[in-house]
Amino acid sequence: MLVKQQIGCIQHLSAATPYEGGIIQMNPILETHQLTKVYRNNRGIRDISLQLHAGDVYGLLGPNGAGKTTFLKLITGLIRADQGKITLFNGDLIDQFEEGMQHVGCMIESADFYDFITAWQYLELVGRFYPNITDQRITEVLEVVGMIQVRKDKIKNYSTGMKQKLALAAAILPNPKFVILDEPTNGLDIEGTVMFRRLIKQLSEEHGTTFLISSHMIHELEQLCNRVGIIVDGQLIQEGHVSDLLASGQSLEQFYIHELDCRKGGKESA
Amino acid sequence: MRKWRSGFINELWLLLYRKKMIAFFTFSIILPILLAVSLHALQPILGLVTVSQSFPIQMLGIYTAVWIPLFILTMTADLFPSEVAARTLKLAFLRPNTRFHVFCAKVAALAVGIGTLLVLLGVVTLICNIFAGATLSFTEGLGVLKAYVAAFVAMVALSAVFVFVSQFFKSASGFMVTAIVLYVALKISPFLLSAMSTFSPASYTDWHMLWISHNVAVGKLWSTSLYLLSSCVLFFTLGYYIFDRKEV
Repeated sequence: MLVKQQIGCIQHLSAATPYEGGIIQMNPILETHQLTKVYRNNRGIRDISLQLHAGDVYGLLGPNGAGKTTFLKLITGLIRADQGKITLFNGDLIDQFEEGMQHVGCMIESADFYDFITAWQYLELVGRFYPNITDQRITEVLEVVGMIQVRKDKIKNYSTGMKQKLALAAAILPNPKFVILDEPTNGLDIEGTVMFRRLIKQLSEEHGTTFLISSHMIHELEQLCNRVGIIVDGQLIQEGHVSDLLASGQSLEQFYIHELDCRKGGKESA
Repeated sequence: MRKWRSGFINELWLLLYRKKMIAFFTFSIILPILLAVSLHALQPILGLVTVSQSFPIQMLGIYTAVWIPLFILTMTADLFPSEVAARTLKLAFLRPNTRFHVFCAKVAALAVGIGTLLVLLGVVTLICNIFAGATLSFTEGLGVLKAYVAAFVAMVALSAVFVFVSQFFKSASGFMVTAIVLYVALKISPFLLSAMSTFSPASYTDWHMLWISHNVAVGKLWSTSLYLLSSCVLFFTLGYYIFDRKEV
């Protein structure tokens, strides 16, 4: 059951409990405990504690510079936390990085590639780190993202959207249990956005893949996610289930704007 | 180990995909041939200057002084600062591979590049010798082999210095300029401060000459070998220390 707490004007929707809907949830796939990373300019994230369970499609919302990408970089080991703990697949991220990342597909920040190689060559490079990645599997993911026709073109000739699709293909190539996507629809055309939405729904429903998606496309997140978290000024100010939110008659956008307004109001009155 | 191997194979493929590396290898093959052909053609004019038994060693001297250091600089720039600038380093960091493995894979690919260059040079110069009719005896051939192995060790030690220096840069051009200035300074410094000739890895680019000389004591070879190996370990460790703390 979702617990609602009324604190000031902020309506807190608590995170999922281990026992939910009659099913005992297994250990979380990702767990962060008081994760803090502060940059020299005093920006970053502070005390973020979060749990993601198998099958979750978790949307991370927040204004520009709120700390979403910093959080994603921390949980993938691209940057190091000042304090806090990250547990990935029941192991400490730092101590058991290889084991944890074996089941993770990532697309962090912009889609950057070695531009002197082709999409096929790039996926071959990625595939070497995982077992059972055959040419057939590479063909399969390229077909899924609609890149099979341009697989032998150099990446330097790709548009932003095509690079984004290739990054998505690389993220799903090893059949990961957990996929982390940072602004995945950036630069995608309408067709690409629909493909992306279908893909996430399919992987989540048919394979139970867990997703953590950071995006500004709030309508996309509303359709895709079962849980959302809002990060503002480096802090996770809200977290909850989308279904409960929609049942209360609010759209995710209304909820998000309301939370930001409350945050601003709170700051001003302080 | 499987993950390290995957990273290493990837680095080798990336090396082959880079056109400038292929250009480097091609030029490395063509240059001795051109020089041998020129010397052979000009022999009536130049007299004693010709393709002799020492041609592989003479070419090695030129390559270890200029060509291979330039190759090391270019490759190091591609492997480290260029990847930071292009933000492609994260592509390796996001795989199930530790940073130590990523670093080792890159350094190993660099060593393979140096080794390949030396093997190509050795084979081409020996072929040139055969065509020029200046074939080597078994002992001479063994001496050449010894010199090339010694040159490989010296070049790897030099590359360890450049790998360490490259960790401070976020752009290839900045690294290249600084590294060239540093290399020239290290080459000049022994003339100003004699101790530098012992303690600078850049002073060992002609180290292979010691190995083919008959007048060098074994103790000297042993101590310089130890110095180069310890220099490799030191700069490799320092380079990894900075690489491991990189935030991309």
